[in-house]
Amino acid sequence: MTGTRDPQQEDSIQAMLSDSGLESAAELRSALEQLRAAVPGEAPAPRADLAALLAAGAPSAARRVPAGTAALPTIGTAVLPTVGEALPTVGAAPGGPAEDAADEFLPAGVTSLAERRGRKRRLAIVGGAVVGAMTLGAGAVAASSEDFRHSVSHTVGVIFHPSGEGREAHPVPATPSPADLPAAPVPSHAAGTPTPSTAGTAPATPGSAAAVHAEPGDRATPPATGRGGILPTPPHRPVTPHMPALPGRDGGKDLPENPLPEPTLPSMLPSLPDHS
Amino acid sequence: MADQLSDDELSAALAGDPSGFSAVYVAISPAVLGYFRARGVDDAEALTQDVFVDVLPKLAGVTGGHAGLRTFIFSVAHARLVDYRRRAERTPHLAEYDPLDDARYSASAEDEALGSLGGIADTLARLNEEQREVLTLRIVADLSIEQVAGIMDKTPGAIKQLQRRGLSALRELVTEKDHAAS
Repeated sequence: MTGTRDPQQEDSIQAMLSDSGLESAAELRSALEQLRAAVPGEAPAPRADLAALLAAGAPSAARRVPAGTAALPTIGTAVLPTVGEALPTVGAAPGGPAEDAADEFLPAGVTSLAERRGRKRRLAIVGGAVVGAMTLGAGAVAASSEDFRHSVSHTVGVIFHPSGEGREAHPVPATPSPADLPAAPVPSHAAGTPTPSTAGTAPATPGSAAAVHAEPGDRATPPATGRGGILPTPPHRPVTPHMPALPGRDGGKDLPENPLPEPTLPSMLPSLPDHS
Repeated sequence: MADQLSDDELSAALAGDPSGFSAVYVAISPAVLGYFRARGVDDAEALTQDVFVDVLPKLAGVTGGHAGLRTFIFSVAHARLVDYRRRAERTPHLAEYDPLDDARYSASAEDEALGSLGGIADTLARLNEEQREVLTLRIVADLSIEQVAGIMDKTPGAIKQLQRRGLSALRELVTEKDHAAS
């Protein structure tokens, strides 16, 4: 680049010098021409992201650039025509193979939709694997500990069998029942039901009050529905000791119940007073 | 550096039509590259491309035809240069490479191709920052006083003053150099 290729620009330098009153300074003029020579004759080859930006308008630009600017052969012939040839195929045939061709021309920062869809599928697979692993873990715990199995079977039994059929089986684990005994009376007081003794039984029995009077055997069944397998039998027994005091303030409703639990009491009574 | 942008390409570019981008790039990027080179930027090409990546999508809002487009692009280039200078200030100071101390020295093919830009760049570097910017924008970017005033956020009178002082200082430096050489 010699700096003397465009007379118009020389004029602009001349005008600038004369503006500043330095038109006679030849050495300054040549220095300014040197400075102007810093401008290269060709545009720098665009890097990937810029090329993508330029390629967006390539079909028309490619047609124009080689014809219009012969002075810039590298850009005109090297970069733009290749993109220009590729894009028209996409426009002409928007079918399967053309889309593949379009994918090849994705700019640097752009990801294809197909890739993102694959990522989503991968997420679903990972989620499924995690859930499966957790299920396996829970199964292993259930297999190793008996308590867990029992409690699960209890809850399942309570949920799916509203009428207490398995109450005979539940009392067998006698350990939970004593613990529940002291607890049972307390909620009954809080609930406001007059007799703690019936607290265990009463909530379940009121509906079947007639049945309670009729048979002791039937009477035992309703509690199972109310509290599950653990509570029903013990409440009757401990409750009865308090019964004598309660009937005084309560109605005669509870009185008929007393005779029913009494036969069972002797065995359980000694232990319960100790707790209270 | 002649304005090779046709009116059709210009109107397409200013309408935000990507078909004009390529023509704008071909026509104006050499001047931007020269501007950065004259200001001594290390990687002038990268900065030039940054400018166009920034500018091309925003051409739709530009008014003022050829001059407006040029002013807009060089405004962005100027801002980029300021950013570059500030970033360079924050980075650790690098000891300047002195070719005279280097036994492996050979003439730079690029310098030869570009004439004696190395010499004029050194001379320019001795001017004050604003004078240097005015002279570069006026000569390399080929902008008018008013355009330079808009880019540097100064009045045209201030730019004229800077230009006059810059030219005087440059003249002194050049003559001084000539005397030293001869």
